Amino acid sequence: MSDYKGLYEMPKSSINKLWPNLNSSHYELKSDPTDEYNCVAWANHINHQSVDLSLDDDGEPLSYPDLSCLMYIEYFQSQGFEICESAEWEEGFEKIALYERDDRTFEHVARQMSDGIWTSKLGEWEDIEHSTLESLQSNHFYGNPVWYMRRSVK
Amino acid sequence: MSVTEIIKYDKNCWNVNVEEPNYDFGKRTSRSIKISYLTKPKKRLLGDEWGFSKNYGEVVINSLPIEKKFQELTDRWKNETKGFSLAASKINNTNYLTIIGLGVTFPDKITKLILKDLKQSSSYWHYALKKITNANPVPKEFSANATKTRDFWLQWAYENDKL
Repeated sequence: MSDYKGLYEMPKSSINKLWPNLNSSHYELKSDPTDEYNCVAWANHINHQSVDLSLDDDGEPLSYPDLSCLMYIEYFQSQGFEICESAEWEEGFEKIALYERDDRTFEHVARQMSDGIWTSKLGEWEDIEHSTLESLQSNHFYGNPVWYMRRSVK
Repeated sequence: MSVTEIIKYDKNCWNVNVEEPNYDFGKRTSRSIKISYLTKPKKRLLGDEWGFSKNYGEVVINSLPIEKKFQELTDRWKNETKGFSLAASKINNTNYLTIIGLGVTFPDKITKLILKDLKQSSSYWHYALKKITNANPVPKEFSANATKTRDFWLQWAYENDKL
C-alpha cells in the first residue's frame, strides 16, 4: 500500500494505485494523520474514538456475510439514519454513503456535508473533503458506494 | 523446519503442518499447528521458508535472524494496512498472519518482539498476542479498540514478566 505517514507526503502515483479517481477529482486534506478515530466514527461526527464492528465478542475478525454493509446499516439506523435512494444532496438531511468491496465486505463510509461536498477519514491517514463519491472508488481497496442513508438535520 | 501441508479445517481456519527436525535423536518428527487464517495461505509457504540455522541454534527465517524477519513483516503489515479503518482488514493481511505463524512456532521470542513494538505504538496486536500466548487480558467490550487493548496487554506483560 504505502509507507507514507499521510497523503500529504504521498506521490500522486501512489495515490493513484489506491484510488484511481482521486487525483483527477478535487479533494483537500483537512486534518493531520491520526488513528484516534476511523471512518465510521467520522461519519457519525465522532473524532475521539473509533467505531469498529469488524470483530466478534471474542475478538475474532468477521468476514462476509457477517462483516457486511448490512451490519453497518443497522449501526447507522441506531444513530438515526434511514436508507435512502441516492447520494444527491437534500435540504434538511445529511447523508452517508457506504462502500462495499468485491468480496461484499464493508470497508468505508463517507459523509455529505451541508454544502454537498463529501468528507472521509482515510484509515490512519488524514480526513479529506472530496467532491464526489467516485473519488474514493476502487475495486480492491475501498470498493464502491452502494448504500446511501440520510438523517434529518435538526 | 518446513511447512509440509496446508489443510482446510473449517470455513475460517486452515491447519498448517510443520515438520520439525529432532536434532537430539536425528529423527524427523512433525506436528500440526492450527492457525486461524481467514483465507487460504499462499502455497509459497510450502517448503523451507521457515528454518533453523545449523550454527548455534539461532532461529533464522529466509536467512534472516528472527528479529529482522519480524521487523520486516511488521513494517510491511503496517504500511499495507494504514489506509484501512477496520481491525478485521488489518488482521486479514498476509504479513500479520505470517507473524502469528511464527509466533505459534516461537512463542517466547515473537511475544517479546510484539510487546516491544506495542510499547512504542498503538498498533493492533491484540489478535496476534491472543493466538500466540493463549492468554486474553482484554475485556470483550474493548477488543476492537487498539489503544485499550494495548494498555491491557502491557499490563499483562508487566504482571507476567514478559518485558
